[in-house]
Order: sequence, then C-alpha cells, then structure tokens
Amino acid sequence: MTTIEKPGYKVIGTRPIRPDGVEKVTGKALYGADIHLPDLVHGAVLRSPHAHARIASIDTSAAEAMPGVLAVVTHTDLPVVSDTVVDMGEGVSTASDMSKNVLAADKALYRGHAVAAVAATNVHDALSALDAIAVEYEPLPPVLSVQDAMREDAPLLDESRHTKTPAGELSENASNVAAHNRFEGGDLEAAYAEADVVVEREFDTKMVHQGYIEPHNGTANWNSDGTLTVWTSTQGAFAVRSALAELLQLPVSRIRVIPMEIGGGFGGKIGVYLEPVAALLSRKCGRPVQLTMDRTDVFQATGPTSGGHMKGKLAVKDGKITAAEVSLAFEAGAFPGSPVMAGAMCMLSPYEVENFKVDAYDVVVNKPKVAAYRAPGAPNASFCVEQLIDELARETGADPLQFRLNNSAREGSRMITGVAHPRIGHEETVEAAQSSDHYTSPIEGPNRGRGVASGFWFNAGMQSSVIASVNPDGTVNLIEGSTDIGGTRASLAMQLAETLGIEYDSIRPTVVDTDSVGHNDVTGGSRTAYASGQAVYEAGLDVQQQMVARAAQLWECEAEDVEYAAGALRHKSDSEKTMTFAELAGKQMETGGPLQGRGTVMARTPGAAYGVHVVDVEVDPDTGKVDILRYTIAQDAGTAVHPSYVEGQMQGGVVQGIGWALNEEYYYGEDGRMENASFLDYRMPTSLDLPMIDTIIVEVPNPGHPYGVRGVGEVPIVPPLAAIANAIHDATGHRFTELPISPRRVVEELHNLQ
Amino acid sequence: MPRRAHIQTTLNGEEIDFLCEPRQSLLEVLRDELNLTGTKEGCNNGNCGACSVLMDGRVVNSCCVLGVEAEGAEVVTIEGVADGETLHPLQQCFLEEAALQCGVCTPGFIVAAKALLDSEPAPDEGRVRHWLAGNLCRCTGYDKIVRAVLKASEMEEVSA
Amino acid sequence: MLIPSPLRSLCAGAAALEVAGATLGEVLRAVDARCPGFYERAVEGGRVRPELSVALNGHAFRYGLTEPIAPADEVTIVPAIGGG
Repeated sequence: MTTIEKPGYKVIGTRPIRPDGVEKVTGKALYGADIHLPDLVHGAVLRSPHAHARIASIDTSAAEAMPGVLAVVTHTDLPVVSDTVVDMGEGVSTASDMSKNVLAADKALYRGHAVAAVAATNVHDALSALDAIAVEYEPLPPVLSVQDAMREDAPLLDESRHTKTPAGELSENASNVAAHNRFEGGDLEAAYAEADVVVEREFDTKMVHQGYIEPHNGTANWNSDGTLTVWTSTQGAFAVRSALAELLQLPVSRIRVIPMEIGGGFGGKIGVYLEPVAALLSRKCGRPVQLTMDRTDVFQATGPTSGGHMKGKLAVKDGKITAAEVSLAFEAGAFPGSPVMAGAMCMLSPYEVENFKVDAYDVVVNKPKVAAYRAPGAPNASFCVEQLIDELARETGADPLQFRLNNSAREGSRMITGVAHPRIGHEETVEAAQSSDHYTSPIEGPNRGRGVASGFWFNAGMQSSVIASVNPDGTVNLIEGSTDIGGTRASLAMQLAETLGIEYDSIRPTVVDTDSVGHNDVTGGSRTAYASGQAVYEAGLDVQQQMVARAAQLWECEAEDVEYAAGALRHKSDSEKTMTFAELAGKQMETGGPLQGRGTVMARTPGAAYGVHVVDVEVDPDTGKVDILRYTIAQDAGTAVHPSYVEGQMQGGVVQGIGWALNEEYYYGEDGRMENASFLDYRMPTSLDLPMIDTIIVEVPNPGHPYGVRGVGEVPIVPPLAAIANAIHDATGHRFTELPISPRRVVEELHNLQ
Repeated sequence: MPRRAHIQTTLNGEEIDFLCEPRQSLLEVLRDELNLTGTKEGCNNGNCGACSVLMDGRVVNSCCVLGVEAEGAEVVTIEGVADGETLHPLQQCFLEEAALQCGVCTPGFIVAAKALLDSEPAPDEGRVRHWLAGNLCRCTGYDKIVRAVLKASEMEEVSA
Repeated sequence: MLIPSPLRSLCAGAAALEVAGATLGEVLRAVDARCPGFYERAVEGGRVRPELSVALNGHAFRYGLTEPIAPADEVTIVPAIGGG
C-alpha cells in the first residue's frame, strides 16, 4: 500500500468527548419540538387524500368558527412568487415550485400534499378543525413511475412543463420529463465492436426515505414590528432564512432563524415544509405557533430520494473498461429536481472510462418532491454500474477488487464532465480493502457469498464563517453557524485547538442563530468538517496574528521578532521572553481590549471521497431472508479529525445502505397511496439485523484543506446497494436488478414464482 | 375540554401529582404538562422506542401508555438516570464510545439499556442486540451503541 | 474552454475551444462570440447560474465572473452539486 506521511498532530486524530455530549445523554438538549414559548399555540396541517387532483375550492369558514381555532391558512395566504431559482445550498428549486409544495395551489400533486393549516389553542382542537375544512377535489389519474410518466399519453402533472436541455432547448410537447442531460465522450460504437465482453442490464429502484428519528417541526413568531423569528430543526438555518425570505417576500434582515438541535437529517432537513406555514399562522393569530409532523406526514409529505429506472451497457477489452453507456431516469416527485445529475456524475468516477454516453432524465411523478439524501443519486446509479462492473470482472476471470484497481481513476483522470481529478485516494482505498482481514479470509458454507463495490462522492465547498473569541482565562468561545448533526462541534473545536496549539477542552463551541454569525451554508454535502474547518483554521490564524502583535507590544519589539508556536509566544532572539496563550489571553485589557479572531471562507471544492466495501451474506432460499454476516468498509477520510465520529459516519451510512438494499421502499397502491407509511411497515434496520461494521480509515490528505480533511458523511451509503447485490449473486448465482432485495423478491425470483 | 384526571405517581424518585385528559399519552404528559422533554417522540405509535421510559422497572413506549395509567406507578425518564452530577455508567460509556450522533434516539436507548443492565448485569452482544431491537437509531448503525452498552456492563457500578 | 457535452449543440459539436480572456467573464464572452447563446446558458443576472459551477483547472467552484484566468488555464462548466 502507498505510504502516506502524516504530520504529527496534537489534537487531530484523538477521540475526545463531544462538547454537547452530556446534554444529549441526560435529555437536556433542546430539539425543535422541545421549545415552549409563552403564549404558544399549536397547529395542524390538512393534507390531500388524493395523489393527483385539481383543487376546485377550499372553504375554511366552518373551521374558523370552531372553538379554540385562531387562524386558518391556504395557498392564497402566500404571496405570489416568481420562477426565481433559489439556491438552497444543496441544489436549486424555483420559488414558485417551493411555494406550491408548501401549500398546494390549484392542484394536489401527491397524497399528503399540504392543502391548508389551522392554529388553535391546543393541538387536539387544531386536528378537529381540519375535518371542518371543505375541499372540493376533482381527482385525476396519478402517474406513479418514470416509465408511466415518460409515455407520450401520460397524464401531465403540469400542462405547461416542457423538457429542458442545458443548451436551453425546450421539447415541442408538454412532458413530465423536466430535464434531459447527456454527457458524451470518445467513440462508443468502436469500443463495443472491439470489446472482449459486453454486459447490458436494466435496473429499478424505489423511493426510500432518510428515516431520521426526529419528525420535522417548525415554530414561528411573527412579531408586531414585522420581524419573524423561527425555531426549527434544520441542517441549515441560513438556507431556511433564504427560503422564507423568498416564500414570504421578506428581506432576510427581518427574519431570524434559531437552529435547535436536530434529530437527524441526511439531506432531508434542508428544505422548508412547516416553517412558512407556522409563520403565516402566527401572522394571522398574533401568537407564536408550533407545527410538528407525525411519522405518516414525514413519509408522505417530506422529501424521500428518487426511485427510478436505469439501463447500463459496459464493455471490457484486455482487462480495461472501454465503454459505458448508461441511461438514468429518476423520479423527482411532484416538482423537478431529482438528483439524477449527481448520480450521473458520480457512478463512473472511480474509474477511467474513455468512451461513454450518459443520459439523465429528471421526471415528475405523483409522489412527494424528493429531497437530498446522503450522496443523493449516487447509490442508485452505482447499484447499476457497480453490478455491471462485477459482471465484467467475473466474465473476464478477474478478482473484483483487482479489476477495480486496474481501472481506477487517479490524479489527472477525467470525469465524464471533462473535469480532471485532483489527488484522490481510490487506489489506496481499494488496496486497503484488498489487504483487509475480511477480504483475505475465505468465505465458506452453502448459500453464502461475498460482494464488493466502490463508491464516489463530492465534497461541497461553499460558505462558512466563524468567530473565535478569546476569554481572559485562556479559553476560546467558538461561535459557529453549522448545525451539529453528528459531532461537528467536536471536530471544529479540535481543528481550532490544533491551530492554536491549546487543549481541546479550552474551546467552547456554540451553534448560533442567523443574526449572530456570518453566513453558513448547510451541514450537508460532506462539507462541515472540511469547509467550516477551514473557516476555523482561518480564525485561529487571525487570533495568532493578533497575539503576536500584542506580544510585540508588551515586549517592545517588532512583530517579526515574535513567534507563535505550540500554544505559546516567544521572542525569537530573547529566550527569556515567552508567554503562554492563556497568559496573554489574561492581558487582553491592557493590550488593546477584546481579542477576537474571525474566519470566513468560500471553500473551493476539493477532490472528494471514495469508499470500497466488502460484504458477506447468507441467503435463506426458503424464506428469502438475507443476513449480513460480515461488513468491512474502507474509506479515504483525508485526515480523520475525530476517528470515532468518522467511523460513526461510515457505519451509519453503510447501515442505511443495507436497509435500502434489503427492505426499504415506498410501497404504493394503484391509487397513489403509500401503503407503508409507518416505521412498522417501512422496515429500517434494527440492532438485531446487523453485525458490527468494521471500518478501515484510509488517509490520503486532501490538498485543499490545511489539515488534509475530506468530507466523510455521504460516500459510505454509495456502495452497499451494489455490494450486497453482488454478494447475493455470489451466494445464489442469481442477479437481482430490482430493489429492495426483500425476502419476498428473493423467494419469487429464486423459485421463478413471478 | 374533557374532564381532567388527577394522577399521583412517582417520577424519577419524587412523588408528584398532575392533571391530564384521559386521551393524553404519558409521552404528552411528560413533555407538554411536566416539561420533561428529554423523552422524544419519533413515531407516536410504538415502533421507534425514542419515547422509552421505565414504568415499575419495565421499559414501555410512553406514546402507547396513557397518562392516567401512571397512577400509583414508579416512572423513570432519561432525566432520572444520572445521579446528580454523576452520570450513569451507560451515559458515560455512550459519550466515551461516541455512541450518539444526532442524539435524538439516545435517551430512549439509555433508558432501555438501563432496564437490561438492571436485570441482567452481564449480557453478551447478541442479547444486547436483541434487547435493543425495539429502539431505532438511524445515525450510528448501532455498532457503537452496542459497544457502549457492553462496556457499561463491565463497569463495577453496574455489575456490583 | 472545454465545452461540456450537453452544450456542444451550441458550438457545432466542438468539445474544446481555445479563446482569449483575462477573466472568466471575458472567456465566456469569447466563447459566446463563436457559439451564440453560450453566455446566456452560463450566466444569469451577472453571476454564473446557480445550478452550475465553473471548473477551473479541475476545481469546481462558484467562481465570480471577475475571476482572473491565466493563458494556459482550462475552464469548463459543470452542474452544481450540493449533497445531503
């Protein structure tokens, strides 16, 4: 394996207890639904019982007259907004689509689509009042799959929508295909003609949900001075502020978003659902209003990620992948914006492929509008490509990891967009998996098999800002604006401690509201430890520089004569003159007043993260149950700041992928009703379903970060779908091309019962 | 408003009384009437375990128990697990093992695991996985949670 | 300038064009002079469209139009990707 030289860090690479830990293990941490405000009232949302219907009329008068009811709102209470593209930091939506998703306008586009909302003195009165709202629906036939939606005679979700291409062309006829993109390179036909082996298959996946345990919530107080305060569980307080500004047509300066602790997000808590509705209700009734979802609402009315249909055709010549033709059609849900482009750009990125054609279709269907979900688009697309690569390896008699290594992308290899990779660690990661105890141990026994897969995901860069304010006792308050979903208070405090050369315990991080720090993009896109980490580093350098100037002032020398190292200042030519960080921190008042560092970055997107997974399964041919016997994940983390939380991201992502591969799906009836909208029927993995998940952290430092950090959060969910399908093929000889590979499907396909 | 019942119960070792509507769940009472928001709602139908509390030593989903059923019972919530400033070994081990990410399922896991260790001080991995199968965590993949519970079971305070 | 394959229809199928320009904005204008409509596909309201990123020598980033471009630089446009 390539040897990587790693600088000696003092704090980075250790495993301290997270700063917010005690509050979270004692039940004191306040999440969105935990906030109790004086005069608070509660609301409830009326949702469409139809998957597709024209809304002829809504009569709220009876509900408004009910005891305890304080306000009722519908789409007409929202201001008219334009088709402006709103950049939410995770992708983009138009303001008018967002507005129609928050409260349905002329059409309900999925079952569970919000139609009206009520505020009342208690939640039970609010729920009762929903029954009194009279909505006249004209039901329309629902469109529930990309194949149906793409048919020429398909019912249209929006008669004015035409297929767009990046070159600005619009299709002649209206269509449910919102966008079509094509990436092409090389000479595909020649490559197929010369190939040793060509494999071709079609694949299908279903919508799946992020499955965070905390349901969405939003509490709003429209103050009498026209300002709006919102408390919510979100991945990005500033993204919520931008969305509210657009939807409510308010300047951002009038909106303050207070991020509460967040009970999981995985991409699903970036957009807004309840916040603008709570704001409208609060404006109408003059009191703070709290809205919370129940689990059924979360499934039916927040963004899952796309299911879709995929076709792939790959060729190999002399052990090299020479051609790839892949077509992806992803469900966007009710409004455009599936992650199909991200899937298209990720799936081939572990490899060098010279000749390719990739088509990506963004297709609207009568299902909830999809939201980001951990490496959005990449797991499904890799389910297609990584199975075909497994077949190519098998057909040519190659070891599947060695085959991946022989075809691996490296620095300078071009992605399908034409962009060249910077320094990346796919080869090192494959090698780590090859030499793992897992891969070097044989797998034995009937109905057992082993599978592998690679995965790639970008790191988003984007904006972060922090303040480091030095206390006279030598501690530092780290003021930041990145929601802490999984330990980023710790990883950011550690990077500041490293920069300043002081103890981890001396840093006190706090996540503050949108009025209290500069802009921070969402905690998502694997960017927080990486990009906010850069801002923290900048703030640390700023503090260092100010301290050097102050030491020079105290020692009556030039700043150039003073050195800052290992948490202390010293005079370069006078060894008598030294001062610790804490000593100088205690002299702030006499050296010019408060010491405050700041760091702001617009982080440049670096080369991103790779993971290679190895999984052993056992398939029960009678019941169809697939057991995960052993799972090992090797991943390039650049530099693991807090290895425990890096492992946690890897393990958590794998287990979401296991659920996606084996059990999870939005199961629809023909009427467009999701029939399994509960945690009982939407079957996520439990502790009983799993072994320990073994982790190998590979560290190929990221040249774009001062400590070499790469984002780690997303890529672990990319390979499991294909790795498990490959393992099941190894165990049974049957290739499953449709997800989930549930017991029912296994029995049906193995015994030809369909 | 329906007539409210007067309920007397022992909550986290303290005798208390409260009023509640017959339709209110114990979870609602804890969170909305008694302001003990450490117990979380994840599904409100008994599938996720985020609202786990102990009732007379047994783990229950407080969303599936009525507030009025707390009459005469001994209820322990996450707020009653630590002994003042001293964390319970489970709480300490969850911190040391990084067994939480977002933390919203953590109170339920700690309460459920406490019930296990109270009755079986030395469970093996399989037993821990079986016991905790009623609690959903979406962040960790359970690996570090299971390790934290096993580590806590090895600490003297628990096994003594 | 590498022309992304989805935009090649504007450039008579060309995969790359050599153009002169001291800033990103000038480069995009120079491409537009040879591929009418290209600038408008890339820029809206004085900034690169929010759904796009510019990749400069392999680094995709939301560059401003005033970003300096050196003679041998390789510029292309890619879809902007956020993530979960």
